[in-house]
Parts: sequence; structure tokens; C-alpha cells
Amino acid sequence: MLRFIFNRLLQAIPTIWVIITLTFFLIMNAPGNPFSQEREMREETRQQLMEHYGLDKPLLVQYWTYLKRLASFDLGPSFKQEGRSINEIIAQGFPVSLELGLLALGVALLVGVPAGVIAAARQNTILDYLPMSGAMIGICMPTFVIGPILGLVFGVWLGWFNVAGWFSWEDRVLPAFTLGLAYAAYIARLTRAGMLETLGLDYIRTARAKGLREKTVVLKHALRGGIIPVISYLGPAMAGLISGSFVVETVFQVPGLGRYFIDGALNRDYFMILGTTIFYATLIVGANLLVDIAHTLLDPKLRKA
Amino acid sequence: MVFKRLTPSIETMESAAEKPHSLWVDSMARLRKNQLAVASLWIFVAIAAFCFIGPIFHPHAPDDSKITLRETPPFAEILEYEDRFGNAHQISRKDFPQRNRDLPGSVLEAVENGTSFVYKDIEYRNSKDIYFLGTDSQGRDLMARIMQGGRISLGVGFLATLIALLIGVTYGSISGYQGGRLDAFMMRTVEILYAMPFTIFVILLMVVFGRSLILIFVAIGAVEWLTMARITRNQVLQLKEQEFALAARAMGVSTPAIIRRHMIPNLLGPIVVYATLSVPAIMILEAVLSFLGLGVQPPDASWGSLISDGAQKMTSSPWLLLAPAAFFSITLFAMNFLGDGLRDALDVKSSKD
Repeated sequence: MLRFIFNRLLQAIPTIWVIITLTFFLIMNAPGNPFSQEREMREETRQQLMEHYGLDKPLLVQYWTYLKRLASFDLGPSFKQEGRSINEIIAQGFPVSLELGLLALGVALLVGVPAGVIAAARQNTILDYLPMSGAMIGICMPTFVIGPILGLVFGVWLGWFNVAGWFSWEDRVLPAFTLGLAYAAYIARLTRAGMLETLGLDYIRTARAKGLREKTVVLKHALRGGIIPVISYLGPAMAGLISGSFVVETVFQVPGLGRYFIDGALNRDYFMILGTTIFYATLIVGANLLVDIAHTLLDPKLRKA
Repeated sequence: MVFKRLTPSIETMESAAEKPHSLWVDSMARLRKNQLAVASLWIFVAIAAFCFIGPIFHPHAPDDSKITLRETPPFAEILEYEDRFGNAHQISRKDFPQRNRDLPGSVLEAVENGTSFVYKDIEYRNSKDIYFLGTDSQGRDLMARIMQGGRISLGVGFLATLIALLIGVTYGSISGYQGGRLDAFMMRTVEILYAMPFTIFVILLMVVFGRSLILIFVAIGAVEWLTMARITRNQVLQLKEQEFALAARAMGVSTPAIIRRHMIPNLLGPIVVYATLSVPAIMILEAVLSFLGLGVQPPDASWGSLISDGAQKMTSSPWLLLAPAAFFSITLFAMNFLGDGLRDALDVKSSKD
């Protein structure tokens, strides 16, 4: 097991390195530069700024400096928010994004898994069709459609929640649901499919033949196997929840990392884009790693391989 | 060549019995039985026709901005008048009292009663124009804007899918067919790219290469080909060990010809299914970009940018959000149901991985 984890870690490093390199050269070769949009900036000032951030040196030198910086976990300064480092910005924005992501994951699991289990246990009844049609809606309606509509209905018309902001717990409800619902839909479908497959297996028949109650069979015996597809989906889901939250953050004006990333992209704040991309990529690789480990722990067949 | 002699006798057998059904004929028959998929297909055709043919019959242009008519609700009664300089204007009857303070009682009454009236030497008449979906914050007809946005959204969806298909199928079939080290290297590359957060990567590409419509196609296509490459490779791996492929190789057919003649036709099923399901996914990606301000730039519109504009005005003019959101969602539903129907009809096991 330890060996497996070590091997996967070893595989993750080149992946992250390729992403760093690719992103770096893409960004640095972009036409124009971060200071070309600013009005009334004198040529000398611009030159000084370029020098200050080391942008005047050859690209390979810059790349090497950047890698050295990264080795000490320093993502560099922001071009646009003077005096702030990317590390500070991430330290400020990420906890918010993480909170939102985890809340959304909670919504997704709490809505998705029970819906999927019920649908599978009552296959081809109204309890199957209803949640599954709901899931189709959740999959088809992207967050930037659901978000404003939820805001319109519950914020503007019903007045239950604020339409924007991130202050009290009530402000968390709409963003978390908006972000979580699409994933809840996927999870419900995955759970249903996984449960249906497991419920047809021999050991379930054995459990029923022993005279166990249907509730025990479904929740204790079948769920353990049926949930495996959901576990493997959690990796991409976590990645999507954390890195895909910028739409929701824009809709509800949540001060998370996604907002900073989008602002960085709109303003050509190179280190900002680079730093956040690398941060996200590392997170996603890490999330996938965790899922692989969880997967091997749950499925004894994979442990030997 | 030995096989050729047998052919005539096979043909006589066939003519005696019913004509054999090809995979496609069978599949289409199965698809036709799936009412949901058929309905989805028609809904999709209707929306596409609305966007592409609709403008010919629609009286309003998407860029015709009537400032006096801004944020007019759907089906509002419209008044038309000419100002002192002889320019024609329109204003919604309901908005008239709000835009002109201290109206005399007789005018107010006329406004209420829905008749023509004269105010400050200007004659206000009822207009025959109807704005079915209302107008936006710049007084442009929302229906015309939705048609225009739909052309871009659907266009991006289909073109980017086509790009993803071309890259993915070529890449996947080479990787799968050649196998060995090349395959390992090519698939490792795909895996690394998979670890990139998709949306972030597309945003990166948009930042690097500027925000233009063509680049949206390229950026999205460049990201979406990965899954296509994987599906193709897995299929090719299975196909190339089958007898007909072995026979072709034994007869000395060149590799590109085998891929083109024997592999790709057999791949069509899964490819068609995946492509159908890709279109809505790509439309969402484009809409996300436009929603964030990184995609289509004004005055052009896509459904994403219309939803984004609408979201900002939703408190005062909810139709600006609801109408484009409805068109977008219905299209996504239709494409997803059609894709699911095709998957069942073509009997493709799994569209992903």
C-alpha cells in the first residue's frame, strides 16, 4: 500500500512539472504585456516595471528563476495588486473557495446518494423516475443558468436570501446549492447505476436468502459496492467544485480564489494566472491521488494489482 | 480474390430472402421508436431553424437599438411617434407616464385607454410592432438577439466538436493502431493534459491568444479532443485484433489505408454518440467563457453573454434572464436526450473513458 502511494506520488511530479512549463511558456509568449493596457504610462516607467518584475530577461532565465521560486513555494508578486504576493492572495481567497466547494460537495452527496439509492431500490416506479428526471435537469442546466435563476426566485422574488455577498451563513446557501446541484445530479445517476449492478450480484441474493431485512441488504451490503463509482467520481468532482467555482463566485460575488483568477485573466496579471493555474493543477492532481488511494482501500481486488 | 467466386451465390440467397439490414438502418429504426429522442431531434431542428432562418422573417434587427424602448417587457403595447426633427421613435405605453412627469389628465386618460393622443405637439399612435420577448437594456429586440446569439452558440458547439473530432480521432487511431512505446507516450501526454483543469486551460488560451470568435473554436476544440482520443484508442485496440483487420494487413494494405478504410468506419457509432453529447458540453463551455466576459465580445452575442447581461438586470427585467436561459436549457436538454437515444440505438456501451 505504501509502495503504491509512493509510486503514484512519483507519477504526479512530472505531471505537475509539465503543467508548470506549459502554462509558463504559453503565458509568457502571449502577445502584449501586463502593462500595455494601462493608460498614460510612460515608456520609462513601463521599462522600470518590466525590470522590477524581471520581465526584461531572456525567457529561459525567467523560467529558471520562476522554477527556483516555486521550489520554495513562492508564487511571486501580483502585477496588478501592488505590494501583494500571489501567496497572500491564495491564502486569502482559497479558504473561501474551499468552504464553498466543501459545502457544495456536502449538498451533492446528501442529495445525490440518497436519491440514487432510492431510485435503484424502487426501480421503474415513480420514486425512480422523479429523481432521475430531476437529475437530468441538474445535468442540463449549467451553474450560470441555475445560479441567477435561484437568485431571482429565492433572492429577489421570495426575499429569503441575499443575492450577493459572503457574510452570514445564509449567504452560503444559494452558492452552495447552485454549485452542488449539478454534481448531485451526476452522483444520483452514478449511485443508481452502481446500486442496480450490485443488487444483481450473487452475494446480495445470499444476503436476502439469509433472511436479512431489505433495508439492511440495500444499505449495508449493496451500498458498499454500489458507491464505488461515486468514489471514483469524487476526484474529478472535487477538482471541478474547487476550480470550477468561479462562475458561482462571479454570480454571487463570493470573494474566492476563482474571482481573483478571472480578474487576473482579464487584466493579464501573469504571475496571478500562472500561480493560480499551478495551484489548481496541484490540487487536482492531489485530489485524484487521494481518490485512487480511497479506491484501493475500498476495493480489495485493486489492492493486489 | 478467391472470395470473389462465392459472391454471386450469396447474392441469390439474399434476393430470395429479405434485404439485409445494415447496422445503421437497424439503429435508425430503433431510434425512431424512442419518442423522447425523436421529439428532441425535432425540438433541436426547430431551434436551429429559428436561429438561422428566423431572421429572414423577423421584422427586428439584433443591432437596432431604440433608446426610448429600453427594457420593455414582452408583448408590451408600443406607441410610435416622430420627434421635432422627424425621426421615428417607439416607446412602450406603460413606460410613457414614468418617462414624462406631470402629464395633464387628458393625456393620462388617453394613455390608460389605449388610444392615440397628442402631447407637446407630438402625436402618439399605436404601433403594430410586437416585441414577443421584450427588449434589452439598450432597446434592442431580445428575440432577434437570441437568434443572433443562438447562431454563435450552436455554431461554436458544432464547429468545436468537429475540430475535437478531427484531432481526437486521428490521434486516438494512430496511438491505438501503432501501440507500443508511441502509444504509451501519446496516452501519457493525454493523461497529463487531463490533469489540467479544463476551464482554466481554455481561459488561459483565451488570454494568450486574445478574445476572438475563431479562437474560441480552437481553444475549446483543443481541449475537448482528449476524451475523443481515448475512446478512439480503446476501440481501435479491440478492432485491430479482429479478423478483417488481420486480413487487410496480411494482404499488404498500408497502415493509413487500414485506419481510414477499416478502423474509422467501425468507430462511427461511438464517435457519433460522443459527438452528440459533446455539443452541449462545448456550448456550456463557450457560454461560461462569454458569461465571464472572456468569450464573445459585444456587440456580438451568444446565449452565454445574453444570460450574463440578463443576470445583471434580473431584478428590474427578469425576462432578459429567463428568455435566453430557456432557449439555452431547452437546447441542452434536446441534445442530451438525443445523445442518450443515439447511444441506446447504436448500442454503445459507455460514452466516457
